Amino acid sequence: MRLKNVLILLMSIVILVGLSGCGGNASSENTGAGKASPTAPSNGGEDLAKFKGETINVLSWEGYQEDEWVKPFEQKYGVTVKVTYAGSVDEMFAKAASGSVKYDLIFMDGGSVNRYHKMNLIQPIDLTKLTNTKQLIENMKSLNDKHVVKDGETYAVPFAWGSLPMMVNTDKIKEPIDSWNALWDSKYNGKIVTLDDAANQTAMTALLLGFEDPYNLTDEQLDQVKKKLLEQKPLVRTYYSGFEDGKNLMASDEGWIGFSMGPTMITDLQKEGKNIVEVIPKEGALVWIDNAVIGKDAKDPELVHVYIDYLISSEVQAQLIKKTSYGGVNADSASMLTAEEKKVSHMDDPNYFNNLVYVAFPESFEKRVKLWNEIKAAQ
Amino acid sequence: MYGKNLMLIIISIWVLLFIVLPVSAMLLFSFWSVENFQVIHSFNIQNYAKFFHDPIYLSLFGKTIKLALIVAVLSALISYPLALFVNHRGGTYKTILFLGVLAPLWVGYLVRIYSWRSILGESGFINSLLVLTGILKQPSSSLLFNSFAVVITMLCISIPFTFIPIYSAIEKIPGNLAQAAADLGANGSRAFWTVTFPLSLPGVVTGFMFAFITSFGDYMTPSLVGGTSGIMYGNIIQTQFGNSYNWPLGAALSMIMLLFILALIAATRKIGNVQAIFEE
Repeated sequence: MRLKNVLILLMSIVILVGLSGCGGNASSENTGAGKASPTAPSNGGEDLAKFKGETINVLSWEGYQEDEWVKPFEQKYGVTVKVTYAGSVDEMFAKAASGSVKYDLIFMDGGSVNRYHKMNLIQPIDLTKLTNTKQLIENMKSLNDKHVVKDGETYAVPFAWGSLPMMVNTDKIKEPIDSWNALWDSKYNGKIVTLDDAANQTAMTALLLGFEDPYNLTDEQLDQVKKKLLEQKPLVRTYYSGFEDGKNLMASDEGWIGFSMGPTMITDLQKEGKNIVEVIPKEGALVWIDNAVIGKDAKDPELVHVYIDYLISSEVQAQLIKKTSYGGVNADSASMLTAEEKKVSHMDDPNYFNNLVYVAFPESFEKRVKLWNEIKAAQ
Repeated sequence: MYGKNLMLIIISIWVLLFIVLPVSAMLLFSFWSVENFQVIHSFNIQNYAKFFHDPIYLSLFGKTIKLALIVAVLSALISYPLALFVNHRGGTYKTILFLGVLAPLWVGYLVRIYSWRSILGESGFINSLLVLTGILKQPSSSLLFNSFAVVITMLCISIPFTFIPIYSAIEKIPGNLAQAAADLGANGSRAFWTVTFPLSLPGVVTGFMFAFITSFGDYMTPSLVGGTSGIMYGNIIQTQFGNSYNWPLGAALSMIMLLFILALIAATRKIGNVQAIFEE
């Protein structure tokens, strides 16, 4: 009989191991407990009591709904901001599409707005109800509008952004780097790291190949991208599969040069004492802009508008930048930052956007995933 | 009797909730399709057809079988002498040695993979040792990010699963059988091959299958230590559930994997007759 017990134990271990493998996508709820900040929102003159007791259900990325700015809003209006965090684009989409919870406010990259709009999950935003939109960084907003304005209606308001630049270890690579071609340079054979991500890997290669719209490629262009990526494959140390994975590779010198997941990856490495710099190549780099959108079945759209307007105010945006180092969307918030904070978040340089290409919704995720799998499977 | 019925009910609910329902849902999904991010609920077998038409699926399926086989064979080859040793020479340390072999299971799955990365990496433990002792002049980059690293990492995960059934099978063999063999004039190796090994075979087969199955479905190990070609069948399934939002194709690919594993278990049941070990 002892063997039977051992087998049962073994099976339980197998199940536990299986479960722990699925536990990667942590989601948590934050009802906004914590210390309050003295800065209360100042939308003076309106009736503060009319939203009392209401709840806003928010589906958000980690870091976008911090106590520093959520608490004062809740106190001022007597409302509750109930936050659900998503760990990935897919998880967010699955949560929003399942419909089990009706989210009033959802945060997503502007490229995804198209999909949510097509699936009829969101409603247009009434810009006349927002007072802070005129402070939005101009060239960023016009870039964003191309993707979130449908049939004359605005479906999303930008909230934060970040670029996907190249990262270069200047201790190892002395020559100046100014092109994505460096990731195809046999000089750095075995020291190149790049992202295990079908859509953005394809888009970056399309930028290098000079295609006009890297998110709308013809089958023939996709073939050229594939050829180019196959050329690169033998030189690449590995395709990294996430923020921490990529940092780990650069920190341990497995990689000297790479396609990064954002400036915060580079500033984190600098804090660890690595001489790694950000390069925006001459072909341009990709930029994601996260937007706030209103759910189709929002209980009180008026309250959601007030909250969005608060979130894009210069005060909240300055707090966001200080806390996360992401780019903010409110031009006035720059005056509340130190020179160092402005530099890290690129709020000191309005021209930074001119060489960036919007992370849009690709012509077909399916084709890109297939292309990328074929590259990894190639011998 | 009451307790027994209650147990039965709990087990049935467990099986229904965690095995029957999810697998049925998967089966159902595998016959649907996706258009414009909407799942179309109409029956067709195009997802299964894709598996046989597109060479990428079959070739990765083959590659995955090959890697899982290598892991399972090595795992059995390593676990068997280990189990013999712990059982025959373990003495008073038997329990400690037994738990020692299971130690990798105490560490989280991802932590284990990352640990191997720092052991095999260019500035890792093995390279530092080789450079320090003068065996290598330059740290080697060929330890990490290839199939070798994938096999090593998977072995670390699969050896405990192979070890337990083999150990149990060997432990079960009555000591007087070996004595009888010796009395009848069989030398050590003859006694092993005619008595011990055949009696422990079911444990070997069970352990082999555990190792094969755990490596077959693994997708984190190849993507974290497998380098640019770090892709196995599990990765293909995983990518269908991501942004490409092709759950039906992912479900069909999973069903194929499930059926393959079930067929394999059925085929090896004869040799690895678990019941035979239970009945003493």
